[in-house]
Amino acid sequence: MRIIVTTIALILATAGCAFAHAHLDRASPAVGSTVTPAPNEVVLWFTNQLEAAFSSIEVRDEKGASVQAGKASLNRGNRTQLRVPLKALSPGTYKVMWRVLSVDTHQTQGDFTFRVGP
Amino acid sequence: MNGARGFQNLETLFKYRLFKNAEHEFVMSAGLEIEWGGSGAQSVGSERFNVYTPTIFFGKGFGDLPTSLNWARPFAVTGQVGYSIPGLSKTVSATINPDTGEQDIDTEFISRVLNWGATLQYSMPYLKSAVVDLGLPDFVNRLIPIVEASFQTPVSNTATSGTVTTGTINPGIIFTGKTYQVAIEAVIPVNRQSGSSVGIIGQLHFYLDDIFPNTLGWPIFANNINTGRPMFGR
Repeated sequence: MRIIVTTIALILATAGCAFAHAHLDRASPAVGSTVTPAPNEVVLWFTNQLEAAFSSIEVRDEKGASVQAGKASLNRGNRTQLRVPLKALSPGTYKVMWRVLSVDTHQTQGDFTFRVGP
Repeated sequence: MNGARGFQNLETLFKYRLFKNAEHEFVMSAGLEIEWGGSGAQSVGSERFNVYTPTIFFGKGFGDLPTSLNWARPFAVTGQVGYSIPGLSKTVSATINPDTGEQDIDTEFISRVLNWGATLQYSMPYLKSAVVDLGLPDFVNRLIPIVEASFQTPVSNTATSGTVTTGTINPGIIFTGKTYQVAIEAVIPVNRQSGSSVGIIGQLHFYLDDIFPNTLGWPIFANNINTGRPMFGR
């Protein structure tokens, strides 16, 4: 007998393994990328629509100083898209920290870095 | 077990998070798992009695590694240790000996068992969203290669079972959809007592909180923040 166990398990999972909350789908500048010239904004696309009042982006340089030129705003025509304007960036590594609330009331957060080349 | 089919016993798990450190992607929980005896098919080994298993769970992601080790940051480990307490300590059965015609009494002692195991997994969703977006196809970005190890060690009332540890190593892969995940794993016995050949297990999970966000999935407590790193394991 080659197969001793063949099982199909049907499991109803609740929070903890959730994927369809608002998770980061893609970003500009792309996650982990090196860009030239320096971008003037960070744009994030999520996998679910967001609540504007409880969604934010913070961008910091290597010394931890904030480099945003304003608050994050939601695209009214596409509520999965959140953007934040940036000050003039010099070459270096920048960390993007996001924290959002999806329209289904679940909070998610994450971070990534990108690099501005010389 | 050739040709056996049917459901295993229904299992429920009550779980409470004891500790969480988002910065170091560490979480520890305690839970009570109950296997409801008699709810499954005896042909696939389901027992007629309840089994209660208090369990400690932990999970650790490696996203806090330095950027020089970026390739390793999508790794995560999970582990668990539980102590299974059966609702019965022994079963007694009577059979007629065909040679002598006399009644034979068989007593089987049901041992208490230490259940322990771990998983090692590599999250492609985490690689894409937190480390580097390599521009891979969406299907690949939804995969999580995983190796699970699950062991059982009888520790008391072992007159029938003995004390040999049994278990399996299960390498496989998970695909994460928007409201579900599917997984397929090989089941490799670690010794002769655990089995004689390789098996296969398939799993289908539904995310009820995403399918029913305004009812079953509504958060009971505030500040239930998801960091985007899922951890899979038993």
